[in-house]
Amino acid sequence: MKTDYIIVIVIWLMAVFAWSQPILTNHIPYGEYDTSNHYTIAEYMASTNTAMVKVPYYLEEYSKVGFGNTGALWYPPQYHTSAALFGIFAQDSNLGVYAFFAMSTTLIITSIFFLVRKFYGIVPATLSAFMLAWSPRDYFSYLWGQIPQQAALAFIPVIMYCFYMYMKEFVDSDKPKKGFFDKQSIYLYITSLLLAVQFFMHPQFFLQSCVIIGIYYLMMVIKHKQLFLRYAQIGIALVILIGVIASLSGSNQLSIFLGYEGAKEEVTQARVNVIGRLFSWYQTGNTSLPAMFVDYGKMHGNWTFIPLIIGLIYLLFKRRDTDLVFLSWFVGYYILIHIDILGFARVHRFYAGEAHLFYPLVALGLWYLPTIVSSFIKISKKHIEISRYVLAVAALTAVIFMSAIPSYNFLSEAYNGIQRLSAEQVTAAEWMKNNIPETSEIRVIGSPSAISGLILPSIAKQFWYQAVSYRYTAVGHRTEGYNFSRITHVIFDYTDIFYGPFAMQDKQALQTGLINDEMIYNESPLVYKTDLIRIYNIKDNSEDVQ
Amino acid sequence: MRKGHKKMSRLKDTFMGIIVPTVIIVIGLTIIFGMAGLMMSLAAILFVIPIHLGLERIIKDQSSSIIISLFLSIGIVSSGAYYIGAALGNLLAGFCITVILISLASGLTYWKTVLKE
Repeated sequence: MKTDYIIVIVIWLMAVFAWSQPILTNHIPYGEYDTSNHYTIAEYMASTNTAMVKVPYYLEEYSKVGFGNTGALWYPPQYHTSAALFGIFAQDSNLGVYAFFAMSTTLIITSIFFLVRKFYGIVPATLSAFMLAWSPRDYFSYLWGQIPQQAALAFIPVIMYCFYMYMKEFVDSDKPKKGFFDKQSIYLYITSLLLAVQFFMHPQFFLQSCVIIGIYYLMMVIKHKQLFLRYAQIGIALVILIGVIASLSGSNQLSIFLGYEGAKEEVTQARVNVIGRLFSWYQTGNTSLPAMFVDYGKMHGNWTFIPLIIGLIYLLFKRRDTDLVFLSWFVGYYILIHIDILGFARVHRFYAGEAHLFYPLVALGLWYLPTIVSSFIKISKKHIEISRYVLAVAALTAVIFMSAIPSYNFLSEAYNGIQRLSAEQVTAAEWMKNNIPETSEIRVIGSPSAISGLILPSIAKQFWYQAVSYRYTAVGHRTEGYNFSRITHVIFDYTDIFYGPFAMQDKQALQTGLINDEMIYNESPLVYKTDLIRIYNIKDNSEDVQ
Repeated sequence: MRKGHKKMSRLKDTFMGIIVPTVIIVIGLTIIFGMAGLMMSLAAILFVIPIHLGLERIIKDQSSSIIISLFLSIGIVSSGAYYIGAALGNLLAGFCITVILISLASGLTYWKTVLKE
């Protein structure tokens, strides 16, 4: 068992090291819009050593738009509290929060290793875990800021293991105990608790676990021809699940979860062509995802496809109770990535957990391939064993060269350019934090998006101004219904034009445009001035700002 | 084996089981994040180990207990830290009290299962 610990921890630490490269090489916070949200909640709690029950002024507008909150935190507090505590312990809130992001999103390595080790042995477990450490689906989702989502996905193997153990006790025992707190029921209660904690991380993946559990239960009922029902135990499990979620998930999480518009907003293409969609693995026409994210070869490597199919077929033929765990996961995943047929949006979020299911199947396909071949050609046991290890080593080598090295290089270079706040921008944001009132409301002008159409990096950067300065920055979709006459300060930021990858003549044109815009505020007091950034206090003539 | 030896052996199993993963994690995180990593390993230990010590005696499977405690801790310890921390106006104090409460509950479970055997 000690060998297991060493292997899984070494793989996990390797992933933490690689995934932390963007913050290890540069301590300035980075990421897309979602990252800025998660970062600012956790970092604020860490810096102030307080539990964010009512959001600070700069986040109030955020809590209203889209979630209908009135100043309450719009996520369950557990994930961000954990990140904040790591920030406090690290004595460097930036590093601590980002380290927790990396550690928690790579937890899938430990949970998959655990599940596959328990069911199939150490080699498939090691291979699955090592592949996951370099899974582009996972680290892209992490870099794009779907951080609690990735943490929530890591719960699925542990939840399924606990539910499997509960069912196993039924199958193994002729007369299952009817008590409330025996070894059998404990695993059911732990399943409930884990589901509740997974809800705190991300409700969408709580649903995924429920679907997989339901399918596994049905498969077990069909296979063993018994209902496995102990009403008292199920009742207690439900009380634990609902009680914990209702009491600890925050003031209005259940209403947000039940009424969330994002879950039922789309009349998708899939509803028009249902049959075609059922035979198409990924959703087409989703413009929020880059094409490579839904390209099997680019995400998992084309070489994994055949072992994946072999692994799946092997499990279908064997259908042991352990195999049914993965089969129910596969069926559940298929159903969930096709519920756009019913009009549900956000199915693409489920793709982020695809590798968690596929890589163990790839590992099992490789590991059991010699056994499958031996049923057609006579091969000695010794040769089967040798072939298995040869295949495992070949796969590990393939992962190192085709996935690990390119992934490490990519992560080392991630967010090195103008996508991340520059040192000048951080200084300006920190100046605002220390020198202007908490109720100030900011408009950032000078982002290339307004002039040249470079939308994503610049919008995210304006959110980062907010995250670092703790001052509300009016930007993006969170300004729906916002009255811009509330703006108190305008920032003219020439940094991105100066550092941006523009041709000299474009640079000059952008700069001239910005200077002309800035002249409008000549009458307002200039409260902060450097070569690249100027901040005007416009509270006396706010009607000028649109 | 005498009864006293049996108890000592159980205690030894429990603590030796967590020492190996703990030491590797402490060394690893310290190499990656420096002093911040060392302090964060302390946080990780305080999150996971108190739950594990109690849970291990209930489910009697060390590796399952460690992994389940790891995942439960993100929700349970942080809930305690958040709500107690909110009441006290100090997140870290909320965390410390939560860890103490969970340790007491685990200690009680340990006492009931091992030391009473």
